[in-house]
Amino acid sequence: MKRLLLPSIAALCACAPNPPAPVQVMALAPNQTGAYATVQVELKTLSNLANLKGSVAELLGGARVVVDPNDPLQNLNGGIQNMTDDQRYEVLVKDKGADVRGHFIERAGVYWPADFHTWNMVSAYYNFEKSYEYFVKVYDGVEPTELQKMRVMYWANVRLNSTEPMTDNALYLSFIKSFVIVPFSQDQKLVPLAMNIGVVGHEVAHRAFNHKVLEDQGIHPALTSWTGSSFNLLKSLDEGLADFHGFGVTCPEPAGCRPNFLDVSIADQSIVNMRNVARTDACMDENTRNAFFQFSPDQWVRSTDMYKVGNLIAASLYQAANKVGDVGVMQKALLAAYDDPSPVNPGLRQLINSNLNTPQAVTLESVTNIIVAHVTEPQMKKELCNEFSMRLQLKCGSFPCAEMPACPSTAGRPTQPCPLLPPLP
Amino acid sequence: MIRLLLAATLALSLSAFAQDDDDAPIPYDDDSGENTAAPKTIKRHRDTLREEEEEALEREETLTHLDDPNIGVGGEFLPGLMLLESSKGAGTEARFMYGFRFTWEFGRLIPDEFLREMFFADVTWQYAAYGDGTAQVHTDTNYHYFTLAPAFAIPFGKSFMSAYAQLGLGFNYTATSQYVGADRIDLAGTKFLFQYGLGLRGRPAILADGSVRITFRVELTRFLRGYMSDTFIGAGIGVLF
Repeated sequence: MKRLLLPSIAALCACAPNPPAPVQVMALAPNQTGAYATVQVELKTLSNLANLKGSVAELLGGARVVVDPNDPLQNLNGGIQNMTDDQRYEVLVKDKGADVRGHFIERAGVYWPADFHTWNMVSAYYNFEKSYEYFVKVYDGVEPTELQKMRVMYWANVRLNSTEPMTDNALYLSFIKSFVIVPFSQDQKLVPLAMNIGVVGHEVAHRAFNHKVLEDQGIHPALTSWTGSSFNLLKSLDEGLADFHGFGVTCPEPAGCRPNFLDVSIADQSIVNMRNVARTDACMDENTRNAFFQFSPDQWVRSTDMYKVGNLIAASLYQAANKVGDVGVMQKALLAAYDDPSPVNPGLRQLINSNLNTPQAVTLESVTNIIVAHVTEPQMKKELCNEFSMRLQLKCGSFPCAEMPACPSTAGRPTQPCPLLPPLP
Repeated sequence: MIRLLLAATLALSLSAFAQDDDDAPIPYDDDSGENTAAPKTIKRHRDTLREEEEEALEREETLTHLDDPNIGVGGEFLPGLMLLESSKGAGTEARFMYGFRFTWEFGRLIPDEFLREMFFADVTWQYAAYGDGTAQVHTDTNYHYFTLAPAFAIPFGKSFMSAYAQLGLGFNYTATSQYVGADRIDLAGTKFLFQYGLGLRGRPAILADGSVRITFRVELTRFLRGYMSDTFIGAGIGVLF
């Protein structure tokens, strides 16, 4: 009996905590003043607390992702763009990682993280759960299966065409259908990106965009075959809509909406201000317009102009929605515009697919027209036409306009705060 | 050997004493009642011999203690590397660890010369700290390991070195401070601790009589901290009295 007692005690005590959902935990989240603080939150979808796995997200530690054009495996079948999702995952994820092991101290039924990474991971899971709830609401209560069991590679070693691992970032990598949270460098001073609910909302929005607009393809043919403004528009659209949804995810928090959600995590104020969704002076300038039409895909994705054009789209959505006072209508209109098989009112997915070989047809006007066409509120439709026309310097300055048939004739380009740029040469 | 020599010496003395009796005239006595005196004397001598032999053996055992007057208690400082299981999922967090331990060589309660060198027990406190985060948000975690661990040692012949294996139980006290800007939240908790490990231990004498010894160790110890597993690679240096 005594012989059994010792290993039994050891075995009992060695079990990780696994309370049934909902689980009360402490996390870092915005408090009522909007400042990030330790607050008690409820994780409703968690099935394993120590491993931070649940129906919304599954965290994975120690993964290593390498995109290297010199890797012979990555050149099989003519390259990773020709591989299936499973093949690509096998080839690019060099180390598949392992379950994370959150360290908790339980107090009166509330689980407190006992080290920094557990704080970071719990907060990240909470943010994924809140992002999921946001999209369920935007999808009108339809459970978005593409946003369930999201694979999150925590503290992953990621090298994308570089010998140096990425730092200070959180990304959605569509080609392996995984979110990655990479280490931050020693000089990181602010709220870690994984703890920032707006940042996680932004990344989840990329997943939704990829699933709905880009047909859930790891590497969509438009991204490999298009160049110039059509490619640049696709990337900026993805970033701008992700920022708009990221802002939307912050709204249910006690402090309310935070359109400038990056300011707590990014030290470079020029980038923070440039990506502020509520920015009133977001206007296309000549340099950005030239870059938009002339930059190669490689130049564009490395340039801040990609985010700037994205911000012009996001700021237009924000201003139009707030002028009418119903951001929810705008959020639902966006999701409706992502994928609409209706031949009379096609979505972005249909626009892209029907123009894979004619990318020149995918323009600022055609894309914004699809978004406007899916807005159900007439006043918002008009305001959105005005905002797009002014901030993006669209060809349509007055309506009706052939390139934007969805805009009502009551719409028109304002001249403030964005003066009209001279026509393109 | 000593026992044999002592017994032989005593036996020889007995023969000499008996020789004196043999030299005396042996009376012819057909009275059987008087003839029983000699065997009684021999029996008494044999009893005496046995008692003396046993006393000699006891004295010999006591000599083992006199050979090593060390009472078998001591203390050690133990620095080393603690590989904390990483909550990030893969790998470990390597941190400097230090601590102190009290050692009692309880094997000395056993009279046997060999067995008395084979058992000792440690009461140990060890400490490691781990902090991470950004300037705005960071966490400091302090791990205290308290264990009671008996050990089984196998001496390397007559040398002062031995190899040992150890099992122990205890608890881990974790104190953590979470900083968010100027705010700080402290929290502490305990977890069951189970330890096992291997090591080499030496205890050369400082004083000629062996009453004071230096002890040193190199060890590899695994801690099961609740559902987390930590590994300690370290050394120990101390004094044994």
